[in-house]
Amino acid sequence: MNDSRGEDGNRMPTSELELIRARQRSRARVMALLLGGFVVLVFAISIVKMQLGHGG
Amino acid sequence: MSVTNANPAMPADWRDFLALTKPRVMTLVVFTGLCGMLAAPVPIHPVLGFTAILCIALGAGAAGALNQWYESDLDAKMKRTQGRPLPAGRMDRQSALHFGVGLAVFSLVLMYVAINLVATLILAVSILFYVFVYTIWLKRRTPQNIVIGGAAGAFPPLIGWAAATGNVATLPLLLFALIFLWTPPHFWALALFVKTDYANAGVPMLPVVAGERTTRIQIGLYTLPMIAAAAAPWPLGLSGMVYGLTAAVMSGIFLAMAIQVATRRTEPEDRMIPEKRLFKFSILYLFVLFGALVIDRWIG
Repeated sequence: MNDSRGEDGNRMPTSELELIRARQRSRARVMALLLGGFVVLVFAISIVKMQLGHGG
Repeated sequence: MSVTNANPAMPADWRDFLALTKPRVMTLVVFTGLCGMLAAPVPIHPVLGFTAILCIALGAGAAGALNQWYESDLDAKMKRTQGRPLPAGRMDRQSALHFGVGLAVFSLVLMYVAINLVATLILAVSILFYVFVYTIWLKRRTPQNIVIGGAAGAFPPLIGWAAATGNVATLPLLLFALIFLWTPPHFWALALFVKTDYANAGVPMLPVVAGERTTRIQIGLYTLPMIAAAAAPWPLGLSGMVYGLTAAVMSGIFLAMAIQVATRRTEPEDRMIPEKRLFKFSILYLFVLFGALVIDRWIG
């Protein structure tokens, strides 16, 4: 079980903890999307560079 | 928001990271960079072109984030900026600093790996110029802050051009000069109607330090070389008639508005309508001119 305590050591209300979890989830989702996009972009750049005959 | 302020354990929302990048400023940066790229005589592969524009956007976003990190105390004092993530308490300064530095490094590495060294170097100079020269050095010290600092916003067409060609030529330098000379009348028109905000925050903007009269005259004076830079590509044979005529008409309107602002005397409780109109038109002016340049290139 996660300890639902804040930085001051006091137990956080459940609603606040849920808000934190929800925000962490939404940030993780956005980060996953960005990383996925980055992978696709690097793949596309590599293909184009090979087509154009650029070694590196 | 109240929950966020109350609890330091609350992570900042991703939208606040997005707000740190000043997306509205970024649109003009991206557009002028894209036009610089499309006006180049050498076509660039769409994937590489997209990557270069992405790097310009990320670099501008990084500079915006670092600007907000450094200026959070000033932003808290101004009505226009006190809703930003840092002064509003929705994010801690360290997160903003890490985000800004990370984004800057990422944009430069990607630009170097995918595009070329020249575009990377100009992007690096533009980020460093905005953060160190404008934000840290000039902004709090001199009313010439936006005159010299305006150079930071003038780099995107150069970067776009360099991304396509690998070098720098006369046309992108003229586009640099156009944005550089456009910045003072654009910002001083804004400064005239948010003067109290700047004064409260202790920012030495020209209307605060030298007064309204001087600012109005300076708006008029800077408009003249700006128009010369805008018109120059046509007589120099670097653009065609579409751009030339568009520049002539748009510059005529800009000049008329600038003269009105320069010669006006305000009443107490003045609503500053001509100043607001000039500020809005100045944004349109740049969009239309750069758009005309690209259309000209396509037609030609």
